[in-house]
Amino acid sequence: MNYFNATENFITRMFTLEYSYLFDYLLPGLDRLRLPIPLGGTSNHFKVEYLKQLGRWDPFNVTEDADLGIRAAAHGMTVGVINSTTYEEANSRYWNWIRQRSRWIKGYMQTSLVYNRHPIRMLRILGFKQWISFQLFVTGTPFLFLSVPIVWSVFIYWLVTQTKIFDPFLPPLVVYWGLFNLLGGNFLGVYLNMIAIFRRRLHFLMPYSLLNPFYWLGFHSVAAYKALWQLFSKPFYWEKTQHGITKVKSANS
Amino acid sequence: MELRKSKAQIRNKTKEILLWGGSFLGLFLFLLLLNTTAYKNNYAYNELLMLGEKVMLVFHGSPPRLENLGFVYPPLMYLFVLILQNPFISSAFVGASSASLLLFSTFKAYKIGRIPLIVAFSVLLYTLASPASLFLLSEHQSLCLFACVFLQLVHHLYRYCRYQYTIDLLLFGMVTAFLFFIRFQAILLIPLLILPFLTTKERQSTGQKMSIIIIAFFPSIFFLSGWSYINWVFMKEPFYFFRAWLSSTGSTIGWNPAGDWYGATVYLIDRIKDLAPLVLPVAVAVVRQWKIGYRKCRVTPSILAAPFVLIWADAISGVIHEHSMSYSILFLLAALSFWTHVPVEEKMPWIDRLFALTLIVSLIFSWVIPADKHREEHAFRQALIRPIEDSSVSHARAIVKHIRPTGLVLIDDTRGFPIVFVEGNAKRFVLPYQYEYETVLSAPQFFVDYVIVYSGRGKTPAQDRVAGRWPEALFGYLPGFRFVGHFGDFILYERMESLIEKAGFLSAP
Repeated sequence: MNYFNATENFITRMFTLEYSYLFDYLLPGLDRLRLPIPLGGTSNHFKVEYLKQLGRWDPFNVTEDADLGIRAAAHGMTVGVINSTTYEEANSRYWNWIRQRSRWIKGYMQTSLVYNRHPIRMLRILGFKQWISFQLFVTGTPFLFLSVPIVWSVFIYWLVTQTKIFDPFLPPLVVYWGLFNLLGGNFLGVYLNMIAIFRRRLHFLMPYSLLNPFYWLGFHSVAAYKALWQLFSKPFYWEKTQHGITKVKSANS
Repeated sequence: MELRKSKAQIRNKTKEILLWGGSFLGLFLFLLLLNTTAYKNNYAYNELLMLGEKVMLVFHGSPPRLENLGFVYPPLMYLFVLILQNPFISSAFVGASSASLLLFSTFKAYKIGRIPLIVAFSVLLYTLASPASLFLLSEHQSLCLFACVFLQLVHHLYRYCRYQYTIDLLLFGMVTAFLFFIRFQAILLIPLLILPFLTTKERQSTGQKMSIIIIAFFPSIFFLSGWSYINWVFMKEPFYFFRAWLSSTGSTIGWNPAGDWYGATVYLIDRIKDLAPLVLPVAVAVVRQWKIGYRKCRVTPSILAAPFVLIWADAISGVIHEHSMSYSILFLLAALSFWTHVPVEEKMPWIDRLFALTLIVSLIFSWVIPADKHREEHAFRQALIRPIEDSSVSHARAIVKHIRPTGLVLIDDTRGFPIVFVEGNAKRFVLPYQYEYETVLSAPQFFVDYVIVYSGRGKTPAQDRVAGRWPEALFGYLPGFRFVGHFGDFILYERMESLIEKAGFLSAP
């Protein structure tokens, strides 16, 4: 999947960067390693009999597609990636984007909570490799977005004030490890995005890949906190995304 | 049929793995035998001794001295010594891995018809019989690792230019960045390595060209920035690592105090003159390139020029290698990579034969070149046959013999690292990184039994701190201490009180 309105504004550019990496590298990578694939909502093709065997999907989960991918893995079925591209409209407005993303992140939280009700049983069913992959990609994603503002705040406060108040909590090994994560994590996030858009020949997006840390902080984390709030206040509420707002015409229209 | 085919494939693969695994093991044991024999006979390359001492301080220092590995020295240079905890084993391991990789890629190139058997055989002979390559593989670990990673860089660069696979560009970018963590000066290769991308004959838009360059060099720039940031945070100076690395390298390899643009260029020309007979295959590679011309990218000129730039970069930053011919191997690898990666449509057997011939000439010269041009290799060769007298290891051993097993020693390990390594017990030394060093230095007679002063001059800007505090110690006088003797560039002092104790004057009646 990719977006036809990548050039429209900053949000659509960042969204295209993210999805180029997700659909061109991450999902095919999971496919190749035979790991559970949390499905996306567009261009999924199912064999109905298998869908019935899985008990359809969880109607209370707001990312029923992701739930379905894990459900398939738990039943020993595999989800593959087809080498084709469906072009969709990228969300071009900030609050609309937050609505859509908060629903997705809330869905990941729900999926994680549902399948972790009996983590050991889940581990037995999936096997270690698939289980750890599920924990990293489905459980880990909301955690990551929730932790970003906290760790960046601590880091920036420490950088600006050179305070010693964190010293008792941060022994040298933790500081080195944290520094490695800060540099290594941001490097990989940025570089893999660069590779993805290079492969797609979307060269004009190259400088935008450097803005990924801002995208994670100003977009994903905001959506993650909204999702966390809704998980308690309106767990099954479906945040509707407004479509058809782009000013760019798709190739099909 | 399919099953039989796959079984045959598995058998071939297993055979290949066993063959190259066996070669690695054989080479590893061979190189380990070489460097341990040389050490037994009083020779080890200073870099190995320095690595050994630093790693000893990581595990047995008081307190452990881990930060130097991260902030001062290139971390990848240390990695293997840190893991294996022995510089000789790690050097043999790196050497055997590099040599196996080189031989594997050479014979693979022969198998697919890129190079004739005579070239492959010459490479094998050179690897196993040249003092330059044996020294590099068994003693000069950092340059050996650098050469190995450089080979990978060249491999992915050639492949990307030929097939345009994104994975090769990505790996090229990562490998180039890793070079920085083996030798900081490698960052100066970037302008040279950009050239093939800028001069490509492929039709590319400016945006595409820029994207390729960004992907190729973003990791290097990011790692450099990250490293500067870490140094800024912890050392309050973004380029602390570079300064510290240069002074430490200066103390182990050699130092050119007049390292400027002009001086570096003159030094480069001198080095090329010295190494000329050893690097003849590069001239043949230039002729071959001129004969076959360019197809897509102009990779070869950059690859062949890279070792020149590295020598120049070392010289301009003050580091000199005039006592070793190790760098000649980089030239040979660059020329060989051109052969193994660029096939020719029309066979030119004469140039293949000429290349093999120059490799053999280089091998012969590596044995007969005058000793003053390659003192390190010469000493290494001698130490494989019999013990040598005048070396840092022999002097360190002589000093250690004079020190009582319980005596505490004051030393500046910027130059005194061989003594710390040879002694083997870091806790017996008071070293500059320790909190109490300044106190001990101001009044050594109250704290230590021995003081070691470095008296060599003109080789490094890093002054010996003991000599800096007690200049008269260079002339045989140190208050409260007795002059024991000169050991190479070191002077050993023993505390007077300690002598009295030894004579029993202070013992109870």
